[in-house]
Amino acid sequence: MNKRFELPEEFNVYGAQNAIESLKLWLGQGEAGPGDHIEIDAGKVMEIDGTGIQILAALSQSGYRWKLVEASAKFINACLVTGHQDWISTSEVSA
Amino acid sequence: MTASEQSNEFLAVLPTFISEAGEQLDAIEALLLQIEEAPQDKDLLNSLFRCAHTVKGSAGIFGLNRVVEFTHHVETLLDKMREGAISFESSIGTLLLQCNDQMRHLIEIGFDDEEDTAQQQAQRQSLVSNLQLLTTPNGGHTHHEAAPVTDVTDDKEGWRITANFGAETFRGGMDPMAVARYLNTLGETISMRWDTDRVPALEELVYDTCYTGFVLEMRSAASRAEIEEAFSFVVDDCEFQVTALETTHEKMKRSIDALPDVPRIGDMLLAVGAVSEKALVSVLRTQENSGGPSDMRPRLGSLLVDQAGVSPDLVNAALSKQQKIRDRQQGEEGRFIRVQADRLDTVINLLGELVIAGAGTGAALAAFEETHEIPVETLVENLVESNQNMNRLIEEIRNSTLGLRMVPVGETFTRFKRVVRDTAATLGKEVQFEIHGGETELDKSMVEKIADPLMHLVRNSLDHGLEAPAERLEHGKSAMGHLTLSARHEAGAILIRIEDDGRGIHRDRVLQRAWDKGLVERGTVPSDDAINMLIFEPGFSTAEQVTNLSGRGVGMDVVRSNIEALRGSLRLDSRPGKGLAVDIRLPLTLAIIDGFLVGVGASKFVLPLESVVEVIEFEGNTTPIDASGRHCLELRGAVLPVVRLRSLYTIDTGAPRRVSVVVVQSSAGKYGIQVETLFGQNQTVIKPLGRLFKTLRGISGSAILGSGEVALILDVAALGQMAAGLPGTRFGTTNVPNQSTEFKSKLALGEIA
Repeated sequence: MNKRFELPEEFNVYGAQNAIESLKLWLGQGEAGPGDHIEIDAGKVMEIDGTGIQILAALSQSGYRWKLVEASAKFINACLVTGHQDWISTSEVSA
Repeated sequence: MTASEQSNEFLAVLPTFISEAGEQLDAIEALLLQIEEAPQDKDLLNSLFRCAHTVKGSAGIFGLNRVVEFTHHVETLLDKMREGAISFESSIGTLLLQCNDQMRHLIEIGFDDEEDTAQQQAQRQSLVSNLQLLTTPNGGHTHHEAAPVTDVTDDKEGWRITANFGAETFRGGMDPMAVARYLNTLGETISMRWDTDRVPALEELVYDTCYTGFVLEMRSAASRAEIEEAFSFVVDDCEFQVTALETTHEKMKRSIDALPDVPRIGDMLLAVGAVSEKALVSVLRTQENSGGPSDMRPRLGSLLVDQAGVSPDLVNAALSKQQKIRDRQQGEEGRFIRVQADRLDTVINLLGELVIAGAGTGAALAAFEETHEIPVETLVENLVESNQNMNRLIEEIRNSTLGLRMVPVGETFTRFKRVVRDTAATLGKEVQFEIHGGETELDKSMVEKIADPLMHLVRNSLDHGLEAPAERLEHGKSAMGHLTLSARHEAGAILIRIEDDGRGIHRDRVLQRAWDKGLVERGTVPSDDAINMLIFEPGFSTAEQVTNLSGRGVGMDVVRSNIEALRGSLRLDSRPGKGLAVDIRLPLTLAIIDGFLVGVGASKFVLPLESVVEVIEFEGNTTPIDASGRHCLELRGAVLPVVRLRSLYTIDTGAPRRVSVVVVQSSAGKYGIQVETLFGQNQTVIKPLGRLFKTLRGISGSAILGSGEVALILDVAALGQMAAGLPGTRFGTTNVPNQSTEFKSKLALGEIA
């Protein structure tokens, strides 16, 4: 079962709506359920703002546990600015 | 007069200025709270202005320039309000209350520059900016538009920035992350907490609605204005606050301030290296594990000598130092008291009459001695009349003198208005606070000592009693809660009541917690009143309560012990779902009590009459002893533990022919005190115990009897606590003796007798 979800290049307010829909669809297809360990691939993220951060926070709020497996420099920088160093550490992000 | 003499004279009257300015500031606070209810009242505004003007003027005489400068800004705003150029609003009220706090701080620190911390300076500058915003012609009304303030960051470690972004932030083309990124360029981040608590689950997430905030702490040389500049593009849709971080130096100063007034023995010995931290912790643990109430546990000094090998000399030196500090503090207490002039006049007039009466008696005796023409019967008649007259005057002088110390409790009550206003706002509750009977008078020393317990109870009502508006509406109550503080005289005592229309006490929950904590034997269900009173038991408070109740880290048990230390009592009237009333009954004065005089051997003791329930006489010379050799007796089907003063205080004069047991009521329940002679009621003037006897348990003071003998005043509550020395036990009202813990505790009481 594929438990890896790839974040879009535009993980900002312009791409947020699509990102949410894709994520919900992916989850709805039973790729992963609450309690499963989801792998988030942020390797292709070229643009990120507060909306992107909110989407990942909402994923946690929905009861999913996830961890980052790939991350672009932009994404890592966003994590540092917003105090989410724990996301870029190896530990998984729990709900 | 030289400049130096003039300066010394000013310094000598500075305490008087501080005291009087404090009264003006109290008045300002009271007036501001009144104006909130009557914003159009010009008289109140005029009074407010006069008070601020007086503070400024007096401070100017003493050269307290900080006070003068700051109060000038306040005065300017008040002046514009008097002119009608600015209307009173709630936000202005809050600002002026904060300014009043600042003025109080400035007056209290006087000339001490060290005490005027950078944080206080920054706060003061911010207040001035906000005052200026209101008083300058183009002034705005939000702090975001504040004019740049003087840079006070030179000696700062940095800033704490709290921001909450509105829902429209993203739709307005703004991004919280961009703000955070910009702030990062102004200094070095110490910590960043991105607040995602408001972010919903994925299903409810609206992609361009902002749910975010952050708390950023950073080291930075940037000024407040520069920091605030980061929010310039989101100012319409963001609430933010910028506060100066404490420097390490300030943190240390605050920690020093928070140290206990009297240093602890362990701390002193640790500081000089007489004991290691590890050994001290071990000794403290031994003391704690020994169980029982704190005054029954082994002394720390002894444990330090025996267990940690500390030299007895060093322990004694530390104890001596501690005692010196306590003595000094006691000496400083209540050095000044303000007395109403007419009351002092009354006492002086009565004294004059007493002098005249004494002179009259002397003249009558002198005339008799000189001439012997006056019949003895006439002389005796005159002397009896004169004695009656003098006794009347002495009684009047006694009452008037005690009256000098009486002050209305209203002054203390008024302080709570601000507490209620601010606490309710913090908790998001709507509270109507009323004060009744503020004119009721009470001994000044008692008023001072009752303030903290009252504050605790008021906050408790706000925090735990009164519900939030939504919850009140759900329960069919008005959104606004009601809290009433009242006082009245009742049967020679003063009754203070704190009453709210909140939740009341949830007895099931209290009982469950008491079972869990072992305060009541599991399965035992005491009376409703007894369950309510469990909230005053030591160890009952949960961590949550300790934090929320008082903010001072003390529990409700401290409230009870403080009130009992004033010979007062507490009673709760809880109506679950409807509210709670806490009644505090206090004696009118701490100086005189109605006592019950008893004797054991040649020693005499006084019991507070109010604690005496009844007296039981025995034919024998001691009370019955149970199978374990402990003293107790059966009183109407219940086992009554008995304390024997003869054993307790090692009174070894000849054994009595017969004894009596005085049944007393303490907070821990009823118990008996075995005595040998009953002298009856006696009005007792309380004398404090000397230093040598401070540690004597079960005795609260002494009294000099008419015969010149000394009687010791028994501390009924302390004797009761000594008697209830086993952990988790209390005297109860159980009628049928069984093997319960409660019963065992009663029997154990006999051990001390």
